[in-house]
Amino acid sequence: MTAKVIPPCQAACPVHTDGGRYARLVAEGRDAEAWQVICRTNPFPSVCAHICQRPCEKQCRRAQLDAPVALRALKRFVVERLGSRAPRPQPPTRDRFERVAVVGAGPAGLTAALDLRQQGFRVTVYERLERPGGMLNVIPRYRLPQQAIDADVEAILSTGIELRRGCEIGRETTVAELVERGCDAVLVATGLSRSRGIAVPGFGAQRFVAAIPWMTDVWLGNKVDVGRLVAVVGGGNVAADVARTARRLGAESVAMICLESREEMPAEPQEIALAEAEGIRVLTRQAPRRILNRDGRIAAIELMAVASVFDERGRFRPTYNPSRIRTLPADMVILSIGQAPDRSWARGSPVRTDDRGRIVVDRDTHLTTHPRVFLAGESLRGPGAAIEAVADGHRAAEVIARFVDTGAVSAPADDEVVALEPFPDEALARLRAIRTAAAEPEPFAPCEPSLDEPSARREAGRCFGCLAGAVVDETKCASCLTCFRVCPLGAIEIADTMVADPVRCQACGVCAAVCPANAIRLEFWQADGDERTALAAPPPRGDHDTLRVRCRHRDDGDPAGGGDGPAVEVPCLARLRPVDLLRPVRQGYRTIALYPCAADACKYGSAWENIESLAGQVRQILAAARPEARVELRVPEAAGQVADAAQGDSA
Amino acid sequence: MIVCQQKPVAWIRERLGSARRVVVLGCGTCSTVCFAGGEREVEELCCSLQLARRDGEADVEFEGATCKRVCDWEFVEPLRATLEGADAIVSLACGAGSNLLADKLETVAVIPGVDTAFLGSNAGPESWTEMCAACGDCIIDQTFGFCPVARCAKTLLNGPCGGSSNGKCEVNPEVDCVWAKIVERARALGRLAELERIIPPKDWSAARHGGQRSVRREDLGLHRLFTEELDEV
Repeated sequence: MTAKVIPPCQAACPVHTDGGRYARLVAEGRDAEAWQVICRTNPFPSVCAHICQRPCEKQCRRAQLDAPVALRALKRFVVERLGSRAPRPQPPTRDRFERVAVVGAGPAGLTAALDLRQQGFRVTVYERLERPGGMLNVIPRYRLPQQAIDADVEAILSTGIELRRGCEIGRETTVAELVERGCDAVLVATGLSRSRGIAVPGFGAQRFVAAIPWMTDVWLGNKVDVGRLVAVVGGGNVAADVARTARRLGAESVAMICLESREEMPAEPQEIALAEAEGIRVLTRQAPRRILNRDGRIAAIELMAVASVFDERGRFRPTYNPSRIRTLPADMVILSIGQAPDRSWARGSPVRTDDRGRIVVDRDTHLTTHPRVFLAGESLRGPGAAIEAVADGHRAAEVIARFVDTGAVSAPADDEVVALEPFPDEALARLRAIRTAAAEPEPFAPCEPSLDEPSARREAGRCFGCLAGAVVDETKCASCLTCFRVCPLGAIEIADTMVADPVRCQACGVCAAVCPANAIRLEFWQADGDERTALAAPPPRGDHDTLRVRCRHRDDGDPAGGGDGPAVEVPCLARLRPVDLLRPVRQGYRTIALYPCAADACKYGSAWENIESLAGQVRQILAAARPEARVELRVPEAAGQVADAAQGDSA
Repeated sequence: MIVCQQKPVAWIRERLGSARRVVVLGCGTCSTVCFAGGEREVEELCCSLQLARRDGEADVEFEGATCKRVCDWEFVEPLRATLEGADAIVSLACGAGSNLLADKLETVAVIPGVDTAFLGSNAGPESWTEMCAACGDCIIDQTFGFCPVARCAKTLLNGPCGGSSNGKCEVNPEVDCVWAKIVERARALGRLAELERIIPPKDWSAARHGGQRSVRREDLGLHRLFTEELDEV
């Protein structure tokens, strides 16, 4: 089977969210549709809108020109825009008899629960804590608001999933008992809820705590202890969260201690910068040697210099320089050097573990040694992003559904996909020539605050439209070469018929507009009906004999397009053919008013001349056929011009 | 390629007379390539004809259709019922296609929506130039690849004439003098002396002067194959 080529952002996402698609929808103001795209494979849209690690943005081809499209910020814009109006996942149309139990209400468990519920299974989720969300609860609220977790979890549960809070499997009941009581399958997704420890002298002191339980207590609102001088051992994102949290809880001085150098630190540079901005000291290439206690309380932590962290083969194998010792005063030490699974759920069940205490499990089929007990999420895959847990939940649900249906356990089908290639240099040069600096909106830095609407629309408009563009219908193509001759990016190749190269095409649509055989369609816009159907305006009524035709990307703060009466919106006026404007005249409109973007604000950079030419062609036809009808081009006032004029007045 | 040019909407309107059902038929080959009668122009013309109707005129139904190549009947045949149900067909195919329509459809009026201009090639954005007159007796081996029949206003076989000025033609100064081009090319090839020889009169019987022309290729044996196959069915 040949792998399907998909946009790089989509290929990079563990659940293959079509980032370009929702960006294009946001750019056109189609937020509800964007929401559907976001939720198609991700039941945690609100959570990911805040804390997704954005693998999509790291692969965005727009970065070849300037900076990636801020997809996470756009997701957050959509989530906040829809708010409580957001549609919830569909409950099943028909209930089935079979029951599935899910242990752990984190992203993996709830994703699998939702998938199985939507197929009609009766699903019960058992959660050890009083609050669902799993490891999401450990993420500080300043990064992930409680409402985001609640919104996603409530939406998932609204499909008819039963949640048993405060019910710890392995203590109150066992997975084997769940099966005996009639569950057809049990999925365990308990995450990595324990912190790894290290053997350091002094361990066990009163204020020597593990990060995960401490953070869980903090964000669950339980009473927690925080010191005045806090040392956080660890250099990952969690350690940065712990340090920032300790600071917020009143610690006067917080230091992060990590083995790695600044370049080697596993935390994202942005996270480190945020921590430092809050006054947190980051001590690199330091290892804790011992905890110095006085009167049963921590007085300081003794550190020793690290010579190297990785060996020549890149494996984690730190070496130390014991002669270089320093002492850091501290009254609390929080250990954040990694997470470990809590395997207490397996107590009392015939689920085998290996000689190191790990659950024996088939990583492909998720199946443990118990024929009806499956494992998913971080407890199977190790630490990872929330969206990776969601992806694993989908896989586990697929395996379980098939198991219940057929009795057979098999690995989920692998979807063979490859990412669209990078933009070729030569096409990039053409692109730079078309897209003047003035036409480009400022790319967004990964941001904490929400985007306002104009910013979101502009940012979304930066999407290159990978694989959303021209597709030539070979049966209609007359090989006239017009598309080849007009494409500003050289994206059309000559074969038996013309062929559009998706690596270069950016979906501006000029080729489709000029094709004399109507043989070119634009993949993305075709999906919801040809954009030209947008011009199927209602017939004119009363005095309104002007039809306003607006570019959806036009940003003049006037969604009505000026005046009242009928208006239609199209993705770009340069995509229209003369006949698209003649039809409304045939319906009875006397004036067609075109509202394009300003020449220096066009998303595609190349549309302006085409729009002028379109207006000219239609005027010529109307002059012969219907002289009383008119086409007007209503150009927005460029912001720059207005400012200049004001300056001129004052001078 | 056969280059066509659409006729004015008003001209077509007038020829439609009292027709109430009109099919605008496009051709997906040459006529499409020169923007005279592809699917795009069919849609546009239907719309323009409708718009050109005046108040008080009877309703006319315009339907558009395009087939791959109107000059091969098999492509048109699937549209036969539609075409026969019309009062008139506005054909945007070249004269070859339009004639075939009249040959095959006895009861429907065929109105040319285009002028078949010439046999030409693309000459830059949105322009085409005549290159061949289909005279039936090609002699461009003697004129260094340029056709004086199609490209000389006087069809001179031995040129240039006295009206050639700075490489342009006296009949239309925008047009290159093809004989000037022939001479330049001969010079560049170092074969100028060959132009001293007088080119004898052509055999014009193969041109339009012998009536309707046809080509038969019985050597291919396909006629026999077609017949046998048809007989068996």
